[in-house]
Amino acid sequence: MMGLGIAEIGHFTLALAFGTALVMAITPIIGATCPEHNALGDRLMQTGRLAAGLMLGQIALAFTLLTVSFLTSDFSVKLVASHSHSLKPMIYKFAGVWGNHEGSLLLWALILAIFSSAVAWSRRINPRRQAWVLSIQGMIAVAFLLFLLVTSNPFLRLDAAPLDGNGLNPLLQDIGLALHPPMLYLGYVGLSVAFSFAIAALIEGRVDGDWARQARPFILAAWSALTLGIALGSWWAYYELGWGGWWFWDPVENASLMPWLVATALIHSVIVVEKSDTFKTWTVLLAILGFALSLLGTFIVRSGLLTSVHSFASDPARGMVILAMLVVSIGAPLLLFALRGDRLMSQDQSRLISRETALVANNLLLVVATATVLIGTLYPLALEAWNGARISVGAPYYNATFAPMMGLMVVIMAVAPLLAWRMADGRQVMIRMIPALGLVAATILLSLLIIDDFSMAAAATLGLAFWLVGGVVMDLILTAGFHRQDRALAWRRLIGIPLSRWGMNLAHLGTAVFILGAAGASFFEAETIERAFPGDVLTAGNKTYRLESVLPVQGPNYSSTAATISLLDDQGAVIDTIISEIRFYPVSGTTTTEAAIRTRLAGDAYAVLGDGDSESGYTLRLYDKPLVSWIWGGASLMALGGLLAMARGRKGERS
Amino acid sequence: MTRWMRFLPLWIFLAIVVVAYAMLSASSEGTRDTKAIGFSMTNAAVPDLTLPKFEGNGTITLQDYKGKAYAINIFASWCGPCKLEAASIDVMAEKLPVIGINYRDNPEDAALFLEQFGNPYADLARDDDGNYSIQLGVHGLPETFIIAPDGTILHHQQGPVFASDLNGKLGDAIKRALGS
Amino acid sequence: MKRIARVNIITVIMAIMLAISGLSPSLALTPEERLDDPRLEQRARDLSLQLRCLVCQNQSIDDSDAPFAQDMRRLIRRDIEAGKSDDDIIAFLRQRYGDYVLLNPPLTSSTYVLWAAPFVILVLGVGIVFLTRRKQHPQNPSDQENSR
Repeated sequence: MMGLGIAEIGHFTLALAFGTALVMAITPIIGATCPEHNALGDRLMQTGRLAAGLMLGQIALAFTLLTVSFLTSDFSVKLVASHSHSLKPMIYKFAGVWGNHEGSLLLWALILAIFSSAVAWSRRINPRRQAWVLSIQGMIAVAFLLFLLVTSNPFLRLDAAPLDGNGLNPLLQDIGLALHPPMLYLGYVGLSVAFSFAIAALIEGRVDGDWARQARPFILAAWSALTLGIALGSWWAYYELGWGGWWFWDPVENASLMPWLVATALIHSVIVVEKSDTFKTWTVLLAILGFALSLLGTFIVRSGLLTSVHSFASDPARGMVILAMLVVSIGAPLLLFALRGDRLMSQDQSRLISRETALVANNLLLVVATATVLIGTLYPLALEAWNGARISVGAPYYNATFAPMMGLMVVIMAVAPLLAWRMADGRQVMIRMIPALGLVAATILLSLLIIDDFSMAAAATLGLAFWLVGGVVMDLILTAGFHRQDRALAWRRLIGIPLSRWGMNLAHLGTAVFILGAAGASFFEAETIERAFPGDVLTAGNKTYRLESVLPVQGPNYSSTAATISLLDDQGAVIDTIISEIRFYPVSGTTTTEAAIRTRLAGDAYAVLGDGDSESGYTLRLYDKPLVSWIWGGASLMALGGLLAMARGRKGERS
Repeated sequence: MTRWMRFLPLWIFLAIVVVAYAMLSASSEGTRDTKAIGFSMTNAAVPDLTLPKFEGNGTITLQDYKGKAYAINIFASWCGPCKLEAASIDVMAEKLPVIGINYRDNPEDAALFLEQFGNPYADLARDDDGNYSIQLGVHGLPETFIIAPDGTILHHQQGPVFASDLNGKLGDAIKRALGS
Repeated sequence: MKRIARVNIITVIMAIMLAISGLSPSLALTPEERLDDPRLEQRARDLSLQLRCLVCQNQSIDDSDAPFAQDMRRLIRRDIEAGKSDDDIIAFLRQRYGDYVLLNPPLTSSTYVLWAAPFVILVLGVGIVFLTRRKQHPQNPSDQENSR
């Protein structure tokens, strides 16, 4: 029988990996506590590095074997039977490997092993610190693999393999949804490395520029991945859920947003540690917090605690176990921080007007914003447990609390790169931001004149975006030296600006792009809901649509009613044709609505077929969504900027 | 950073853990209905509704029932749990009159349902588009109200009526309604 | 009752909450439901965005296709046309469904902590930052940083 033994080998390999993780957790510690240049100590630390590589090989093998089971549709494996189907396209069979609880934990473990190996193979990290970091990573791996093996074994077999699998939910066969978890896990695991670095710092009692330089790439990689992961989730909701919304302050969404906010604070904090002698305790604390929220995100969402308190009613034991694990893995570091944090004292020589202050302010805003999201998410559950009252915390709450904080952050963000370290000339910076201010004023004036339905909120949002753009441009001008005499030299210097600084500006620019996209989607969207017959022409905003036909269509595994809609230009000529469908999948019995979307830089045309018939007409929801793709475009620029910033500047380079 | 400031993150974390623990303990005990929104119309006054009759052109006015104890039961043929509670509603109907409200249903299907599961209702109304039920604070089916002679809702049941309810809070409400 | 802008945004930048002008999209509204008077219709939409669909996951009744959401939307529009104020309608629904129906958590004794927390934490944070810097801050640095 094909596949006989593969699952068992995979299971065995995982068990081996558990043993290797134990070695990786223990030997480096012993090695690091040996006296300096002790041969045994060096050997033990070396063993830690080898263990990391070995563990990677083992987990990679286990993952590969599980993948093979999925790709060959081996339904004797319980996981494959529950979550796959022979009719699934190959790519979604592959994505199905992590599209379930057990498989996603295995993916998490795999990514953990990859990052640990990256730490092990890095030559930049001095051996002692490397040993501590690997050891903590090993402990995390031990915990994860134990949890995996004991409660969530992906390699369980079924006694009688079914003829076919259960997993043919069409909603899950989607590229956005397939990439979303791996991206998020890359982020979470990257934060685990930052966490390990933080613990190492507490144990060593030392945080210095080297520490920051070594930790930075992992933090940037984590942040970029998280940015992309969240953007993917949002984009998926936009095109798949059929109503064009892209953020709902859903507890599950919030669970991924919180680590991202802390990671953003952490990036900026670690940069400060690299450049000057401050923010040390703060950075260590943020690293611990970031990973804590990642754990919260992974486990609590996966276990459904956030969506309903009662989802544990059937298995409170599992919840208690997870809670216990969280208490140990987060409580212990926080205790360590409390006890040994005083060794990381910094000398802060900065004045009130300085880049340090700007970064402190924004870090503070980010952390308070994170706390706000956490409170908004957990409060209804806590209140219910307290006195049974049920309330809802939705977008209105976050618009009132979270949004203003972020707005202020953006204001500071534009100015911060222009401020000098330690002591900045406030007046000079204000003068330099006058062009940006001019840009803002122009934007607000233009929008007053051009846009019909004007609102203060829209103007403020646009203004913020352009304020940020102005700041980015000004920073580039100043760094290249355009404000000095020699223009030719300035152009050369512009090209020569270190990649890491380009990264920062690209990420900040991406934020501005995101803001513009959000503004377009929120304030300038137009909608038309009408009953239409074939031949009818309808407009939404600047877009003109014509319903051409509504016909039944037979797809590969679904039957649908498809509305063919033409997009017309001003003269009535057809620019493009889009199709919106209501699909019925007989195997799973589900009905989905496919929106018709045409994405262009200036905006999206978005059309959704509702119900109706040939006699009474069909309900059509038609939209003009200006700039909406800038939301995800901006996020992509942010992630790209983060990746660029990983590039090493010349040592001592002011950035 | 002074000592107490460094301990602050730990204390905050432990506080959150305690809250989470409380949440978990609360969920592991009790049979809470996940559909319940934690709020009911119990102790409120029953709204003054006039509903169309299920059959024919007449109307049913709740005011006419003032001075008597009665119950209201919201049901539909498409509602699974309604079938489960049919026997309990019969038992209820022996004790006090039950007004049935057929919610967003097809008359033929509803008639079939009543044939199959029995018609215990003293009066039968219909609510074609949910207008009246929403005034009663209904958000899911089935829901049952026990109303005292003075018009106070003594019990608002969200979800099917089981035998245990007849012996529990719902039964007590019936007794109180009849007693007063 | 505060007017709010569209619900479906993570407006990183919304500094002020004001009524938005121009219709915000609803996925679930049918053509027949809409009121003739556009201002009344806009009121209905704004109100709908603040009310939770009780049988859905965190959606407003403006966004949901569920029959119950339709009922509530119709009720709102009937009440608006009958001349009831936003506050009246919200009070009516709150009486029947509790605070759970409001996506904008009301300020009651149960929610003081919820609303106060962000600002309290912000103030605490600023305080801690000041305290920390005061401790770390030695005498004024004598050297001038090069301005850029």
